[in-house]
Amino acid sequence: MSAPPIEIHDLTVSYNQKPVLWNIDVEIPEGALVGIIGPNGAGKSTLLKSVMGLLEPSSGWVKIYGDPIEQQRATVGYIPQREEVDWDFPITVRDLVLMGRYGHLGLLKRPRAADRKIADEALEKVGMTAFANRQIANLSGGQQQRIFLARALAQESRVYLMDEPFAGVDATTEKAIVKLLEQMRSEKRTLLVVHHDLQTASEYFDHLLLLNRRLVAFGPTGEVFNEELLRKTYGGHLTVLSRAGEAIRQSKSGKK
Amino acid sequence: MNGSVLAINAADLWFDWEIDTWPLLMALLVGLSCGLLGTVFLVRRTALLGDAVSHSVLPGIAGGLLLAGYLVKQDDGHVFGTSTTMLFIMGGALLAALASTMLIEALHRYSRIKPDTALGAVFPAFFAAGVILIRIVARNAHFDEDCVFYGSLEVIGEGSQVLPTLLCSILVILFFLGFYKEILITSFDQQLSRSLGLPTGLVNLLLVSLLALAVVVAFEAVGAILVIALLIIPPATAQLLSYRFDRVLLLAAFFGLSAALLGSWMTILLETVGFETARAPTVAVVAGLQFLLALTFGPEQGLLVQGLRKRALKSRILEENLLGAVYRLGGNPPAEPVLLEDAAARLGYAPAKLSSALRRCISRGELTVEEAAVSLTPQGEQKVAEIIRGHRLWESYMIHEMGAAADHVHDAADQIEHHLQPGLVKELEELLGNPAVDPHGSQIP
Repeated sequence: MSAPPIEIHDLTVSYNQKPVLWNIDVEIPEGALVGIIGPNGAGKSTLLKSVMGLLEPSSGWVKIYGDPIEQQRATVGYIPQREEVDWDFPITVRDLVLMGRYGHLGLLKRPRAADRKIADEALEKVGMTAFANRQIANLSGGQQQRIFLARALAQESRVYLMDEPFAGVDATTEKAIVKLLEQMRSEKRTLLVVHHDLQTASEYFDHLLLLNRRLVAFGPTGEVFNEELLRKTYGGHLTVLSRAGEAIRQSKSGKK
Repeated sequence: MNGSVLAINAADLWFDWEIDTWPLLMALLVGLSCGLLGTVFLVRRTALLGDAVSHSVLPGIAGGLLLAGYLVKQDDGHVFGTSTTMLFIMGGALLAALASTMLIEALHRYSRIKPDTALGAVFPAFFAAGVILIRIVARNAHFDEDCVFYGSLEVIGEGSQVLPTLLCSILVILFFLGFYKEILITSFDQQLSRSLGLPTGLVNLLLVSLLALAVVVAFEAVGAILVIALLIIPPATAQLLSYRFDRVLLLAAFFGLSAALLGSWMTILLETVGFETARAPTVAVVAGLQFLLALTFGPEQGLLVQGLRKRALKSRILEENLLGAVYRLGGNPPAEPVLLEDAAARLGYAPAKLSSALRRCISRGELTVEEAAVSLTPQGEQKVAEIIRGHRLWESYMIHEMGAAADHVHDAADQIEHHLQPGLVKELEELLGNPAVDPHGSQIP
């Protein structure tokens, strides 16, 4: 049997010595469209960043098709939250999307005509062709999210990690993104999407990962989207975990 | 013969190549490399890192000099320009710059201290240590303290003194040619860059190292304080004029170069008419003037263009209001001519305020005047119908879709009618199902 697209084993991640994710153990099956849901501060973004290798875990590991992420960079595309970049940066929409190709180019190499073509096609898929030569600062929130998606499409990855692609977008964009996600799933790509809206979560995703500092549940939407598990995810039974985390931080940072 | 002291020889107004070549070349090279490097730090919103680095190198320079003083016995009186000593200075400065940037980074990563505080705490400490060390060094070596702070392009008298700066500029240009895409992506989105497996840390390290190098070689020429002007102002000017990273880089290099050239030349001019100035500050002043010019006259974001655009919008709104008033006061077709005073009264303006709007409407063939009474031409009628259509559709939208009260929507619609694009009007039509009358019962034309 071939290795799964994402395997997370006993992963614990800390910020400033304070664990924010505890002992996550999960295997994401090929071709799944997974929604990650959980309350604010549950560690949803932290989980994605850890899979991407952007954060060093305190313990445990992540494997992509059986390899460490460093050997599978081209396999995994990452879409950060929109707020994480400076939208006043002097760059056009087309050049931003073209950045998705940089991983395929060697050091010192410039994008070629073929890369530009792929970037333009990605822009067309998200309906932003007319904006190709605009500065990114003049875009609405929904348009910003679309070009982030276009950049990810240009990466041509098999696995995608998306941090809140639906945050602050208009209804038209939301529909366009859902359509795009479904199209990507039909191409057998594996998608991990942080989502904050419970109402649509069961409708958009075929698998759900319920997260609140620890893994509450992972499985097909029909099996895990129920009141008991949601209450466990959003309920306030975390005092022990947060107090333990705070205690670790304090003793490790040398405070009393 | 003309014996007047005031007589100015035309040749004095221009570069004297025997004296001016090397200082000019030095200024140009510093302007070029600072313009390119400064742009990267500016778009990363860490423009003041240049400030920090330019101050932090001081203890490294002093340390390098001290060490060189012990190790290199022969002392020919020159400090800069002699190659062995220069190498020690470079090495020391590079180490100090890297140490200070790493310390700033570590302080804010491993403690609760914010990045700006970390920066503000680290570089004055380095600088102060540098000043103390320099005092010690100054006793042993020929070293002009003032030049460290303010720079002195005038002392550069031979090519060998320009050589380190030339090498640095070549390195900077090669770096930008080779790593353009890595510089772009690490500046815009470090996480993406790392997630793609690009050498993000290496690019950051090279950038800071080159910055340190550029600052050190620029030290003697423009000093620690003025190097910041060249790191920040030309890139800021460039950013006012373009929103493409590659063009901003080229423009910043251009403004760095031209500030160096014009500043050097202006110093010569001023000298000729009896004002003894220094080159480095004049270069910085020219850079500042370039910024002011771009801020005022920039084609897209310039204050002048923005002001003109606002004025044009204001007069368009006035004209559209005049047409609207004539339409509404004229009654149903066939419309009666309307007195300008009545139109002004309806709009709450003094009649004089409308006279230029009236003139423009007449010249465009939208209004005609007969014995102080104004009427719409067919062309004017068509234009006003579109505006009123937008107005009434908006009122309908506010009431039916947004639940606004009928007597609350007119003023908002008065504002919005001047800004509705055809696409939005079409969307409103579809949303409302092409209504024939507005909520007040008036026909939608």
